[in-house]
Amino acid sequence: MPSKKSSLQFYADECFPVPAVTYLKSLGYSIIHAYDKNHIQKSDHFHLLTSKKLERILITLDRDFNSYETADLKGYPGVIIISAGSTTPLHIITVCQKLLNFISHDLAKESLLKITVNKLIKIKNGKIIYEKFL
Amino acid sequence: MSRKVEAKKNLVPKSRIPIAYLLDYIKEGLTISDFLSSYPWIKKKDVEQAL
Repeated sequence: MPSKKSSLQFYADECFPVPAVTYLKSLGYSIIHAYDKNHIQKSDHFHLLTSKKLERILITLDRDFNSYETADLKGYPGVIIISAGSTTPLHIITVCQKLLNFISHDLAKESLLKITVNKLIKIKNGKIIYEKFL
Repeated sequence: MSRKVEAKKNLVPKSRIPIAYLLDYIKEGLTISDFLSSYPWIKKKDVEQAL
């Protein structure tokens, strides 16, 4: 039976700090940074399409992705927006550690997940369908 | 898929990284080098220009 870590695959866009990606890799998670694929200075939509092509959950700090709240993400692995109060790696890693305790492929699938220091909100087609305090 | 298009403003030159991210590093006592470690494709001169 595959482990939870091996079944979760992420694609970090260029706003996501590289040291946070390195840390997640050290924990055994499969995560590709946009920089690894030379996807720099690309649009949000490009990163979204790339995540779909790679079949990986898009993880980002970019709040512009909030504009996808009402979008139909059918067929997409999902988008995770991290809002840690600061964009420095330490804060991002702290929030990711909380998130990774319960994140699953199914939770993210075709949805937008907003993750803050103490809360997860799952949005699908413009509607909040799940909330959880972290 | 429909979505609103938001203009990206106040970015570190020649990048899509908001200057606000850089300010987080400075506020927490981190350095430009720390910022460049997070975004290694950005050039130091462009960060200095942003400040």
